[in-house]
Amino acid sequence: MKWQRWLGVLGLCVATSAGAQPEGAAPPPEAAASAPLSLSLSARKVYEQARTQLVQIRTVLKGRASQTSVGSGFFVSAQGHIVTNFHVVSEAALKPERHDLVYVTADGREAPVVILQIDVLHDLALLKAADVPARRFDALPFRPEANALAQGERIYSLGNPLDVGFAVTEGTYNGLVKRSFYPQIFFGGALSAGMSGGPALDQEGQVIGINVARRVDGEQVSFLVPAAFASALLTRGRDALPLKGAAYGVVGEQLLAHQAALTERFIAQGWKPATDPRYLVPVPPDVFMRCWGSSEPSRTGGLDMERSDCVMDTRIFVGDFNTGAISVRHESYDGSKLGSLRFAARYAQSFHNESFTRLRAEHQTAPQCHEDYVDRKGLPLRAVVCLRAYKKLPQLYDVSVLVATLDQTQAGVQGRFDAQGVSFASALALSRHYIEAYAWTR
Amino acid sequence: MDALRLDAAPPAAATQAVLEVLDREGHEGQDAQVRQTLLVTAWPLRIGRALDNELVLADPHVAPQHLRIDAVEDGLQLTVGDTRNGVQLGAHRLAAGEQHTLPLSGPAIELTLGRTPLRLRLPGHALADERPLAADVPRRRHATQLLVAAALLLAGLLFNAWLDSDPDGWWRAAASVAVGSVVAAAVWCGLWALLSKTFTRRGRFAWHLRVFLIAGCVLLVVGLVPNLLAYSLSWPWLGDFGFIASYAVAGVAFYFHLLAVEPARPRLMRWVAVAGVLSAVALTLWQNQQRSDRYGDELYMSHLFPPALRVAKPVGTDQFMSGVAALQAGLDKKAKEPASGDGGGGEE
Repeated sequence: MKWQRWLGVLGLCVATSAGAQPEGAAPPPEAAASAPLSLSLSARKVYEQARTQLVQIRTVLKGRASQTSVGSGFFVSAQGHIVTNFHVVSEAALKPERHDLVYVTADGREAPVVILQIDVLHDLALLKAADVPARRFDALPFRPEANALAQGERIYSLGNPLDVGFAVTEGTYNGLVKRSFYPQIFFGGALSAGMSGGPALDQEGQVIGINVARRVDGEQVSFLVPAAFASALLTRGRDALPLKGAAYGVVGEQLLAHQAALTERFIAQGWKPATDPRYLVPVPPDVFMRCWGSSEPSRTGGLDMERSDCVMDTRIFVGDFNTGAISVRHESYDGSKLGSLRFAARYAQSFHNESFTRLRAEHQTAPQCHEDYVDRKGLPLRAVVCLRAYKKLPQLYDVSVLVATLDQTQAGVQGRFDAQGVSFASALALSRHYIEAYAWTR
Repeated sequence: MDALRLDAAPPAAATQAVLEVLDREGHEGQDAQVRQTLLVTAWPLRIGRALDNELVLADPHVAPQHLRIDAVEDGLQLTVGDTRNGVQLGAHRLAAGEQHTLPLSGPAIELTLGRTPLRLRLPGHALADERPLAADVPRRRHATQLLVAAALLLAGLLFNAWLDSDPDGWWRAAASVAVGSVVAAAVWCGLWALLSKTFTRRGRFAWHLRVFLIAGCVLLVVGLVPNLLAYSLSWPWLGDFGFIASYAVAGVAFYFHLLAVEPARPRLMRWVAVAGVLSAVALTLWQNQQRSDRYGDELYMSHLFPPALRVAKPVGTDQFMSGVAALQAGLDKKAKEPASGDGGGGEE
């Protein structure tokens, strides 16, 4: 799943943008220069109002003064609090020994900034300008939550795309994203890498969301974090002390809260009915997951297959990797054209063909598995549960469950369940929930 | 009178012994190649590089007066001359000046001077039976054996190809397996025959073919049985370490191949094969450990056979989940260790 790209990770893009156009790049220089003329009057007004509150956030290699990534941000208090995305500052938060953080204003002033609080679940971070403590800053106001926007209303996203320069893009408000685990605003406008963490403003110049991601397989399908989460983060962290050392502890705590909520909601929602004529096969309802199905009859008179893939759009970015998502998948095989011996060979091949290593060895242990034949009300299953522990996030695990039905000689169902970044207790509960969903329909 | 005297020339002295100079490489015992034969009609018999010996050798590792054999009262006595290298007599090594009484019966006496192997045959020594010119019956039996093994192996390979192919692609798969296995057998056995020929002057293609065919059949069985048992009894470790049995079979095959290359040293070849198997097993275990932090080949048992072959009883979910719960301690311990190697995938 590579379609959702984080916008802030720009180090490489900027370095190589001289010749080739990076993916989803900003318009070429000439077009950019003429852009203000084509903007509506209110875009111009909004940008002029917000210009002084807008900053670029740069992560700089300690002692080398070269930037490793850039994103955007904006002032939210007169004391110099800045809101941006967690993924914009993740390197500085997780590897503070190697990275410094600075902000750059629209008029080119550069000053250091510290991280007060992070919210990895909504991909937000609260920073504070660390240059002049007594100075007063212009701040952008949050639009009150009660005052909801209507679908189709014009909104403006601000930021510094691809380190080219501060820009404003117009787009429309399209309500909340469907089937997202945490609420996100669907922004019908173009976002580019580097605009992450920048504000999205309504016509009055109030913050309604924070630029966070876009779909690379679509056009102008972008996402904003609702302003309410940023406002809550500001309330919570206004007087917090700067983060000390690597933030893995805080990240771990927030992931534990996330997995508890995820596990509870997942188990509570139950399974879809009627997913296979012979078996009860666990397929989750489309609440915060999306299932795609396909049917693949063999072209060479062999094994016919139908499959269903259910994945979550939401996943939690934790620096070098993503976590916090669940996926459920199954394949139904019909080998009546093959005969039992050939079917068994093919069925075994498919069961064999599963990988459990997701992250590099520095992040996760090697998988450890338990396997046996499991009896589900008379239906014999081969079940394998494999777990990997996170190395830097204590008490969090990835769990994978493989199941193959073993009652028929020429047909069967194989399923796989994956949950990332869950506690051991949740891993057990989810595995049991999944395995116990298998049975005969009659 | 003159003519009569000619006729009555003193009869040739009786042959007391035969001394044979053998080829340095090649077979031992009866099959050894004889390069030179000396009829011994009188004792003492002297061997060395100097011209006053009865047998003059060209081997630079032989002394001028290396050895002499004298007739004594109760038989023959061997005396080692002034030599640095001594004499290898059967399993004994005799140094300069040592003496040794030679047995007059039993097998022929084998001795090595420098790098030259010799054989001394005395009238009392046992002679092997005459060997028939062509061993017709055994050869026919060998041919039958070869054919049966070849048929079995080909059938096994074709069966595997049949298992892995779709009905539409079966004939193509079968043809490529048949051609591929014949070519593989020819190349494999041809290379071994070349080695045999280099070292022993005999190709022994049929021997190598036989080793190849039998080993192939056994490997097919050994590749299947552990997996089948692992499935049937739910013993995943059998599938995990089934490769050891395959390595052992390959080792035995290797030993028999080697035997036709260096027939003189079966013991050495045995050790070579054993060492080969042990190091291959150790290497695989080490590789598995590096790759997946475990010694077995497979993370989980993935060999599924028709349901009727399953013997192990399924367990309840509670029992199964308590097995999963037991993984926690080990995982938490591993999580605290620093990362070693790069056993990682890259989904993201």
